[in-house]
Amino acid sequence: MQAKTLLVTRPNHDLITNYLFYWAALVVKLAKRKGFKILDLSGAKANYRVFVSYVKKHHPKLVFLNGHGSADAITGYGNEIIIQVNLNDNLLKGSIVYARSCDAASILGKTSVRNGTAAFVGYKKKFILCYSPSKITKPLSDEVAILFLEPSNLIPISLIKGNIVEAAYQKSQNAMRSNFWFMLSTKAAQNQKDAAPYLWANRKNQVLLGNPDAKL
Amino acid sequence: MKINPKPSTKLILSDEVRADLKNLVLARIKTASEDLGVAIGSTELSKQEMLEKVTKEDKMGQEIMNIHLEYLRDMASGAIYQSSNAG
Repeated sequence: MQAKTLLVTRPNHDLITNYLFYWAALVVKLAKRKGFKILDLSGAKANYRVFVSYVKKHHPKLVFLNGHGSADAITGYGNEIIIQVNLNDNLLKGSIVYARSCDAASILGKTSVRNGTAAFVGYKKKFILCYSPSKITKPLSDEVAILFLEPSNLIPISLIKGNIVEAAYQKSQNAMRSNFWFMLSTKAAQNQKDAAPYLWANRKNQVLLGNPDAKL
Repeated sequence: MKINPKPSTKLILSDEVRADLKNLVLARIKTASEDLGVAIGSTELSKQEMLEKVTKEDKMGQEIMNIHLEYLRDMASGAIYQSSNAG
């Protein structure tokens, strides 16, 4: 049987993309263990030319995009646009897409699904990441960022484990809710408590478009 | 006789409420930990920068206000407790 393919973009040209870079690596590691074929567009490799060429050649079943975005585009390394409405949003036919970037679900997600993307999970407003400035050299040990990125990682992780998109989405939503209640509790550190409104916004803005029953 | 211009009550109330809400958000940010960075999209903000943005009410300042006010509204309305599987 042919291996399922995961394509991940994870530029690392600024603080936030660097956090996403490290956290996306955990997904890549799991996918490797599960026997996926990995197309890892990390760092400067997350650019338009490589992205388009890899998608056309390999037709990845799961596309995990990390980077800055807007309502109609998602960018890669150096904020170069890699996918955009009316440019190449028909590229991801049949794929399940998770866009960990701002705003893209508001327009790009919709046009992408209209053009054949099986399902698109993303954010209809800004994706917010709170972090501890004293931990920026160790993104995986940041006790504030973990509250945002662990639930976010659950989307691709659940899909890789064989769940349908709706289940992956619900797991992520539930994990954000669970972290949110922790942040309001006496067990949370002050900086974790203060980040609660931002996690709440992410939870509200994360949406699932397309076929909820799609799976890898 | 002194003239009372009687400006629109709605407008005055709106301005007052707006100022109150702005002060509320500023107070919440002022009391926040110094060890907290917030990246809203590609904009990384320290506590001081957030205070400046909200005070100026620029685009990002308004965005920060909306995030806090939506959160407080959901708290007050109970929407937070009604979220799926709440408890």
